[in-house]
Amino acid sequence: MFKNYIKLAWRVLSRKKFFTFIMLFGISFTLMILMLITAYMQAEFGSRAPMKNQDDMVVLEYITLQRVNYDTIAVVDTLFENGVAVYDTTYDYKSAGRSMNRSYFNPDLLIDNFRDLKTVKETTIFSTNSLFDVFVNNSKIQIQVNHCDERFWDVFNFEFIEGRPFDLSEVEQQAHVAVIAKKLAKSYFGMEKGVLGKTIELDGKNYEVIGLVEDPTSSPDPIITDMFVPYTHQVSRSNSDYLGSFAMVLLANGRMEKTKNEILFAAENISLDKQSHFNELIVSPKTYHEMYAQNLYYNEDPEKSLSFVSWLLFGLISLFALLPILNLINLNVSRIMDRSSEIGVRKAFGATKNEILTQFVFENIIQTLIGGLLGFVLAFLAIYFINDSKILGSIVLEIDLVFFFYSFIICIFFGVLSGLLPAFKMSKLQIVNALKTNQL
Amino acid sequence: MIHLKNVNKVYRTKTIETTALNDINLSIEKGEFVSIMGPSGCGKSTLLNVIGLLDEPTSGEVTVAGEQLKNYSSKTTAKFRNEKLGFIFQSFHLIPDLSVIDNVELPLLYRKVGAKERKELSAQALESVGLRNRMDHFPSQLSGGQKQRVAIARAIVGNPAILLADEPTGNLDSQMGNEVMDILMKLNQENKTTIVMVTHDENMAKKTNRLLRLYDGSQVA
Amino acid sequence: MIKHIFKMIWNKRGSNALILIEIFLAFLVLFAALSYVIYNVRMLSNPKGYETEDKWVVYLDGLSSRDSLDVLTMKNTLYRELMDLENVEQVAFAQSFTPFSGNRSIKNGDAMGFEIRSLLAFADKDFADALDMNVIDGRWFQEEDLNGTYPAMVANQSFMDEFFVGKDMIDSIIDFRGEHRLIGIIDAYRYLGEFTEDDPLAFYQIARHEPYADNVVLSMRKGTPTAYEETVTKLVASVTKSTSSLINNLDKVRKNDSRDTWIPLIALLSICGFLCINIALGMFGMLWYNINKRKGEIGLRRAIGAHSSDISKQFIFEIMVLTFIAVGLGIFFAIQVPLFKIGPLEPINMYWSIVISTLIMLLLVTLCAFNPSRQASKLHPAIALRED
Repeated sequence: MFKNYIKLAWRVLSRKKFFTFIMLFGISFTLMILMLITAYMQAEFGSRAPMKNQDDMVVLEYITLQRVNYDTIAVVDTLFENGVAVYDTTYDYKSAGRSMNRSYFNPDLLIDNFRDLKTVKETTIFSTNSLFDVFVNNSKIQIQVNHCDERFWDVFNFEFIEGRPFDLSEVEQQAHVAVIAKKLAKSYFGMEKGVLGKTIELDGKNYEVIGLVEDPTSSPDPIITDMFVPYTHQVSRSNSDYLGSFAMVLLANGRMEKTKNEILFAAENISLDKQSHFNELIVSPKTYHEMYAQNLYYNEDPEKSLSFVSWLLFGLISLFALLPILNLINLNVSRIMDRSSEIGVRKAFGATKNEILTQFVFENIIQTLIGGLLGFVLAFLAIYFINDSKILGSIVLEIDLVFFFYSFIICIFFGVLSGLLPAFKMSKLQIVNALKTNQL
Repeated sequence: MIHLKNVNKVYRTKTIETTALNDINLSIEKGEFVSIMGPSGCGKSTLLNVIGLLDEPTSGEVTVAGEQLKNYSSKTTAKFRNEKLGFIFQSFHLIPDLSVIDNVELPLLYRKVGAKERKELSAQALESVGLRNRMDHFPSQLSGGQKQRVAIARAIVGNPAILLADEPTGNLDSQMGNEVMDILMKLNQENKTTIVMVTHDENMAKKTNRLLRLYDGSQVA
Repeated sequence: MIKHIFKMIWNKRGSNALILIEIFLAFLVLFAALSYVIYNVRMLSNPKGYETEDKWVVYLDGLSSRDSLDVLTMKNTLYRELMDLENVEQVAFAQSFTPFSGNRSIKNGDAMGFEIRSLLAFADKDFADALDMNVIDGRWFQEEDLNGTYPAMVANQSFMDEFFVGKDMIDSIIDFRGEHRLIGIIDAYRYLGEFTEDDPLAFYQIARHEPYADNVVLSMRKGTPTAYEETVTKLVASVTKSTSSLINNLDKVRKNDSRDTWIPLIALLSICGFLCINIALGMFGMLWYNINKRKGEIGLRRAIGAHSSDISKQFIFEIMVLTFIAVGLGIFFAIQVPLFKIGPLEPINMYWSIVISTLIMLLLVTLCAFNPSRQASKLHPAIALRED
């Protein structure tokens, strides 16, 4: 039976070449774009190294000090982000009758208050905002340095090409050791391995390379830095006991909500004695996904950011998919009319409604799968182009089994949806009427 | 074999009622070859459709092959048509996207017959209409007469008790028409298949056992 | 005729509903995407207020923790030695608000009796010259301004439009976080990037030697090679006795920065373009089929005396009326967004977007309907009638 359907689907496709082209064009491009979105999601949220623990991550990024007072002292704090010097934000909100100062954390504040929470497996602190200009062979390399603790390597599971991470004693002794990413090894030493024992000079100090890690394929700030050194080398640029340049990632060992609440509770117990200027301290723990959403659409409440971004994305993608489906349905309805006498004959010779329905949905699935195959090829090319041109920065799109699986599901979904309505309409057709059109 | 009792068929739209069949009483025995004649719009096609369970009468009893069908649920009628009836249409209604053999095996497909057996039976049916050598052609490559012979092969492949033909020679010239008619008569004589044929052509009608004439939905002879 | 066409559309409302929904949704997608595109294109066409080509910025590190006198002599030496480099044409010092610095410091003040809420930046007398800024009224800071009764102030046009609209304020005293004399107005200073708004902003003067004036803007001779950065860095390191300063080429930073906007913009536009092509092809196919199916109708119309142009007009009219209904519906929903000020964009962008989306949809539909309609009109009545 199915063999016949396939045969028929193929004949139908090859008979009306122009319409086949229209259909395949629509299907393949839509599927290509959906596949690219899938690949992007996979790269960012697919739990690849070194972000395997991303679903357990709670991030403490900023601390906000507040005072219900109009006259604020502007604290300007130098930070570096993505190769550009930025200065820490100072907001004055007169209308709210308060002034606030938002910044990254002082490292000791993080360690003293959030390291030993009950619902947390592991924590790490890091500061990614140090940039150094280094000149090699007349060209400048800007090295972004991550100052982190030894636990960083347990929270983020980097793939080591060679060497090892630094340990607690090296952190405590301020050892001049560094783990570097492959991209830095390439640009600085001109080689992709065998760099252990070599040194890199930063700010007059020689750091010995003890580990070489694979470049990450996703975008989070702490992992895409070029070089990792013990955080004890970082002199806090502000003299505050609260503000600084560090963030913390905590791995929850159970429910994220519990961990967030525990963090908020711990934050309430931090005394503000050492900073008499402010009278309120706010931290905002968020999950990795919430942080991601907040970067796209900022809302004070990270959960609101996430739900807004998710809904927006969902809406846009479904609208984007809905249009080609509608288009296909319209086209299918017109095309299928052409075949009303075929349906009449089939029914006259004993086909039931369900059999007609199956036949046409099946035909559509075949068409969609062919379109999907083309979409695959297009997606392959697009992914190759995107990775090659580094349009997405550090993000590398990959084709893996999960990608295939999702894409296949998308194809089937598309085929069924775009075939169902026209087929249903036709299966209900009265035989007598269907046979009246003498077009066969 | 076929018994119609007080069959009426009225087509209703919002504004007008058209009586297509008016109190038809008809009995056709097994092995008969009956032709139905009448001017355009007299209801002869409707009569054929009612007999073929393609259309439901407004009132009256229809008994075909010993079964009186009242409940026209799509599943049971589909099964019944598939096993007991064969159809031949004026405009052939071959599926252009399927080869000759694939067209012929269509009724067997819905009977869930295995592929090998399907192929054998279809080849036999094509043999009996003399088109075995055209098995893998597509309908567009055939002449009108050949198309209709393929349609006949399709109608008989499931070995139905009754063959319903709606102007089978209407689209053919007289030579091809005679060829088709010969095949039908042979089927009637050799296999004792009951055939009901609607036709415009007196010459064709004369070759059958019995002639029914319809006028404005009523039986006049 | 119009009534007749409406009748036809209504009688086929089943199949027309799908086309209607499709045009409607396509319009909404186009509207949303174009709003974003138009916003960015308008931003890009506005003046930045400064140049980036051959402009470099050196970020000095750790000045605030050093002795003030030490910094003063160091800064003067640095200025002199940088100016002595043959490729350096101008050297200026500023605090934190150099282009693309990412800093945003908004201050409030209501000493004037109404609220002023503005960005505040600090720069020295050479800053405007180093970045080729456009002073459209008055002048930029001079050395003597540091000794004036009131500290000097330069504001951007947006500041004036927001708080002193229609007033000639040059040489007037403005009390915004202290009394300042307004000496000049610049056209714009969109230092956050070329795709950002020009928010109200005021420049106050600082002296070159102040410790917190730690951004050094260099105007380089045209075509200075990137490798020259090393020369500058070495000089800065030797004068400041620190190797942790950074140097950036503003033009490179600008290109990098605008990539973040260009890439989603191009992605969005290509997706929209694809959607349009897809819909156009689909509509074309559908119309072609429908017109083929209506050959009998066409034959009849021809037979009773319709001219072939009447036929094609009729088909184009039919699809046009349908489009107008769908787009009208789309406009009704789309216009709620700017009317109720939902969303982050300025209304003007959305109004433009509505206009352009409407035009695109009409153009698309006309293009799709043209060929099949002409084909239909060319049908010979006898042939058309026989087909039915």
